Amino acid sequence: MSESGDPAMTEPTRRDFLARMSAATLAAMTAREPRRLFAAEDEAPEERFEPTADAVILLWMAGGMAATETFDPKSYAAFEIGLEVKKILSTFPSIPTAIDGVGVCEGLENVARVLDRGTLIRSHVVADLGHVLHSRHQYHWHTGYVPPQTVAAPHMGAWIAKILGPRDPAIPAFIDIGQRLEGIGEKEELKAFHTAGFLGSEFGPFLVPFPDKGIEAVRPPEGMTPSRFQSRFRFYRELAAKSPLGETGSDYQKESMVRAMENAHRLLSSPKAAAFDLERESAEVRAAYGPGRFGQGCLLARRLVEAGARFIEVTTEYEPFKYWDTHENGHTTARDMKAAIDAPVARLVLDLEERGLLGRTLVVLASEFSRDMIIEGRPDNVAPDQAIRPSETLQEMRHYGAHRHFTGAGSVLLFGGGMKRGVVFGETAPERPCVAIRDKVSVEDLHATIYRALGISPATAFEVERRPFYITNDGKGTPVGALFA
Amino acid sequence: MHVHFLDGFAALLLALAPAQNGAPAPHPPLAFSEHVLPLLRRHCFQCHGGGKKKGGLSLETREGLVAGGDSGPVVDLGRPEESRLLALVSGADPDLVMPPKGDRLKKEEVSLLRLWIEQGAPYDTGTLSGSRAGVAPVLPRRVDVPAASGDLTNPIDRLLEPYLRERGLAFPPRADDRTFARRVSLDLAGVLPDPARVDSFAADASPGKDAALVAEILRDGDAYAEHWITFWNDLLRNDFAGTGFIDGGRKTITEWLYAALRDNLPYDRFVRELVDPPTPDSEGFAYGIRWRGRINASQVRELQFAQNTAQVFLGLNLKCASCHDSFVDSWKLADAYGLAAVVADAPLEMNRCDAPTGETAKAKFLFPEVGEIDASAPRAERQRELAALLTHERNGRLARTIVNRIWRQLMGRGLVEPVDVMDNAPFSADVLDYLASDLAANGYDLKRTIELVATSRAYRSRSVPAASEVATDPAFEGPEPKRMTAEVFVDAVWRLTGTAPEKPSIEIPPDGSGRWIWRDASAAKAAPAGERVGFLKRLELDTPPTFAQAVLTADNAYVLVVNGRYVVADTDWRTVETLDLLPYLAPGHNDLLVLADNLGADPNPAGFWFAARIETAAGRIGIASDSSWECTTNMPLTADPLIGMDGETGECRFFRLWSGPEDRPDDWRPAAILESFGGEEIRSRLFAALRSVSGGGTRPVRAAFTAADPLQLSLGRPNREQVVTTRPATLSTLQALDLTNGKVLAETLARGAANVRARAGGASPSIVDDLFARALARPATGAERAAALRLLGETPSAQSVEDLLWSVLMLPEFQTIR
Repeated sequence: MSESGDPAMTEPTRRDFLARMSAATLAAMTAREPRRLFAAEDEAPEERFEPTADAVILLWMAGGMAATETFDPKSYAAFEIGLEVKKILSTFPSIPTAIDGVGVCEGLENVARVLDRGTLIRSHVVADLGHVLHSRHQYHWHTGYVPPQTVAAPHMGAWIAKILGPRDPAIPAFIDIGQRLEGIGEKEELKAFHTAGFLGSEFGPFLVPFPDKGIEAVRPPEGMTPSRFQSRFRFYRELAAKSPLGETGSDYQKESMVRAMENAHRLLSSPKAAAFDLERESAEVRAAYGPGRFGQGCLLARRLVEAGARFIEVTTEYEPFKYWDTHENGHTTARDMKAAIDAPVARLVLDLEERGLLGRTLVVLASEFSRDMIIEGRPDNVAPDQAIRPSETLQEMRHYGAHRHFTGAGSVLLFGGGMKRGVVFGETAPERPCVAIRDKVSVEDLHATIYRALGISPATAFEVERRPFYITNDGKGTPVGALFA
Repeated sequence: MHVHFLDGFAALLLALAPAQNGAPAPHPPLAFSEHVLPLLRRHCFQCHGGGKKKGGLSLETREGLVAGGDSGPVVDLGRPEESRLLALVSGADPDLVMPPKGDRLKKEEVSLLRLWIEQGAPYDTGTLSGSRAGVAPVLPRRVDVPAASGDLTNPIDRLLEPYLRERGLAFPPRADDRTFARRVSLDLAGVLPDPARVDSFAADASPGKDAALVAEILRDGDAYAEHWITFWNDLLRNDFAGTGFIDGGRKTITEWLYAALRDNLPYDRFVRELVDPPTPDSEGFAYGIRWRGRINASQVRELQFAQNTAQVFLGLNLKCASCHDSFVDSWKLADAYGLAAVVADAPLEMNRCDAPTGETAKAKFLFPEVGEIDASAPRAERQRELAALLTHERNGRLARTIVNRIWRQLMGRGLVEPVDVMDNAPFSADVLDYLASDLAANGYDLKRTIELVATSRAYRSRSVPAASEVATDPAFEGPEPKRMTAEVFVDAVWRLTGTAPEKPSIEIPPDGSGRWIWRDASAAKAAPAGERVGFLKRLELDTPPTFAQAVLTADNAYVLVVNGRYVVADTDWRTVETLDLLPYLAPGHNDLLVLADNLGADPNPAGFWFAARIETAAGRIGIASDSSWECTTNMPLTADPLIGMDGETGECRFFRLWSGPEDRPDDWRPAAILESFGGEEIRSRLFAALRSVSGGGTRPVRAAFTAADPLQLSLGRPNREQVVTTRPATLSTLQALDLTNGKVLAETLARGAANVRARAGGASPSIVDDLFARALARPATGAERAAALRLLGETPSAQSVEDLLWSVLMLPEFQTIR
């Protein structure tokens, strides 16, 4: 891709690119775009916090991962026709982990073995938005704000991209792996938070819906040879330079356009683009991450972090009624989903550790809410779009497993990035409802923890429409100090 | 562990430190929202804000601060050092420290408060982003326009000339003809100009050619609607797919909006129909978005209505005040709720910061100087009153807001900036007030305003690119270049390369379309099996028709009888009949009678659709099925038309339905319009048939009517969950990436290159000439031409044409309207 002899095509120096990026960023800051407000007025300079992480990998369990089927096992009852539903809390037995006395559900053997590298939060409590529509909860989790909002709220990755910028100039600061935004249900709702919102598209997600095709996002259009790609750009440059427009003097709009084109071209011509190419991994390594899109996405995330990515989300993908959205066949779907995530998550942690990257890379595994075993519907408030089935006794295998949306407690994994190792944080009730009973962690506090690990104050705000808009809801997120090593 | 940021705060503290010579340096004015408000909010508002007045003290407003609390004043503006507030927060008296609970103020914060009080404790937002929100006049103002002089005849220019002269400026030189032709075509119709028209314009030496070109472009109602609908979709949050459409949580107004723009519906009526919808067609705006699940109290549909009405039509922001009394302007919670309550079906409880207050909102209008709303009136009446007040002649804000938006669309920067803060001062109150009054005085004809601006010497000027991204001074030096919207860019690419899709995602009914009608609106879902409805439309013709063609169909079967004579019958609702009515019509009364049957054994949907175009010496008349048709289920039939239907030929042999008025049923009632009926396929067929009857060819599909693809989304087409009034002005790196290797554009250009090559006859010089003329409305310069010809070579390959095409499309000159 970068065989061109043109000196301008070679990889730029970091300083050079950062200078250009910040110029582009500046150019994006027109009078109408948000301006940063000073933050953290309550914190004295002597208490200044040093970042513990430079990069974040968010492993997103899209669709609602049931804690009691994964990382928070409760009393297990095997499937049996006529079994009383209320007696079932978990449909998988517990297995031991690398942390003494801590179990997770069967099917997570690989993660169990690396659990001593991280912290398992069992008391993540998300907002109750009426137990419907995953995309609203996902919007909330990713932006920190409950939709609807009167201004477009930025995704966590966009906040981070805006505030910290790229870690390496040739790797986009915010990369989103595995989520299609076209051709699936609720796509408009998904698009609504896969955005930099009012921060401006400069900070939006670099989308890689199919990790094994990641390289396509950073190479010339299909069918175009690298040499043609380079000569096309050379011609564009020549034409732009010869444009009579150049005669009109200073013109930030024109200059920013040319600069953005140069940036894009540089990114597509950089040798670093190879980080997007999974073909460069051995068959053995690729197999270790499993055949699925999520697994390959984890591998891509590892490559990108090595290359200098700032924020990467890898999702199991949200699609209504699929993957973790286990409305039916809860048990078998959970089994399949665990099979899809277990090896790659563990492999990712180990790979980062082996490469000495885990210390400064925060890996977060989370979901928009948990699930409960009661079959569909909600006893006190029946959601109109969910089927209500007799929930007394089990008759069919497809009703065995967690179905109902549950916001009272969910599990989150944190690895690296300055978090404690080998710790379980928070606790849920042993009986239904298995709500968090100790050390609750809200979405905004979890966000504040992630931001703080990166050295970003949870009270950071930008001005939009003459009011402050904070990185955590109203700037109220409080980092959970106990999670830090 | 704590995080600290040195940027804003530390810089401020540095500035607070004494200057080197020991004397305190005069400090620039503090920005209230940036420097003081966060501090007040953090330490004080828990007891003295958000409506709370502990100890009788409210710090929410300057009045509250100055008034002090139960125990007296808290600030002394004459002797700031003596202010009790400073003593309280600095802990001078250990027994009485504010805040009593929570974190105390740090030394630096106390210094900040002191400085703020020294500066007079301003609450205004004067230093916030250069905005100077004050309170702008609401009532209209008459502006005396200086006499015309020389070529300055347009009132805008006559008002701007002294403005410029006072600043030692003059109008920039006139833009060259080709630049102007491209600008006016893109600004007014959103399309690249036809090269032949650019040539003829450039060759035209007549003095009135500018005005003629503007008028010519504006005359095409469809082109105008196709372009401006994007602007309005952004403003009105209108779309036809996306969030909320899954389950009826949102209603599109696309058809209404298109017709309103095409027909240049007067703006006052436009606003009234949105705020107080006379039919379901325009109710989507007021309806808002019904979100599933629990939402914040400030986002209920009534408050969405208040926020959007205030922002879009009045350029003021009620978003803050929807949650609590605003910190940045004077709007109160009760104001936002007052507007919201207008459309509330049930008593609306006020919530402050998502917590119920126990108070019920009282419907009211934002500007009492314009008039009041009767809060005790029923909803429909309140809504009518609101519509009347918004469009009242005393409400100058309505017109100012829209003329400012139009000014910005054409000139690149508003008379007032930002366009949603109409309380900011305009750079020329005279121009703003003149345009607003002119709009109101001329029947709220928006096209007139557009024409007025577009024919001004100011607009005719060479554009003046901004040298920096931050506009510190709203002064006018000339029109600024504008960036193409995503839709305009995509339309331009399609037009240039002949790659527009064949079908839009939403098909707009052509002018004169009918609606699906039946006896009852519920027929859209189900009408009784075997129900027979007679439809009657009376048509008066003064002179004999010279042309009369109709398009119709019915679900399931119909017979059409005109003036007692059988015309046509059909039993297949999927077919569309086009027929010549000329032989059946005559001057005077004409009765169009339709007998329609809902077939089937079970209740099922039923509908009838009709549109005709009739021409007489006096002009064109359109007849279309709508609620002006009468219907009955009590037809006095002497025989059953379906029985009379010839099974072999499908023709109806029996058609004499009545002999005279005495036979007519007496239970006629207006036909009901069916919402969402019939499906895309039949609609498409009906529209195509009507277009062919009307002699209008099929118009090329425009991007605004296609679902947003990844390219359009990337380039900034919004998802319309929020009101958007300005699109980003610069290209981001991610957008540049999508333009450089994105699939959508790459595939379009790969297909389009062949068209471009073929159109130009395949020879390199003509390809270059054709492309530059179409894309940039000018010939290539010698240097450009030479470079392009080098790229193409003697016999241009499809790839080299594609590369040339891409390079031209990526030029800032192409992507901006200059």
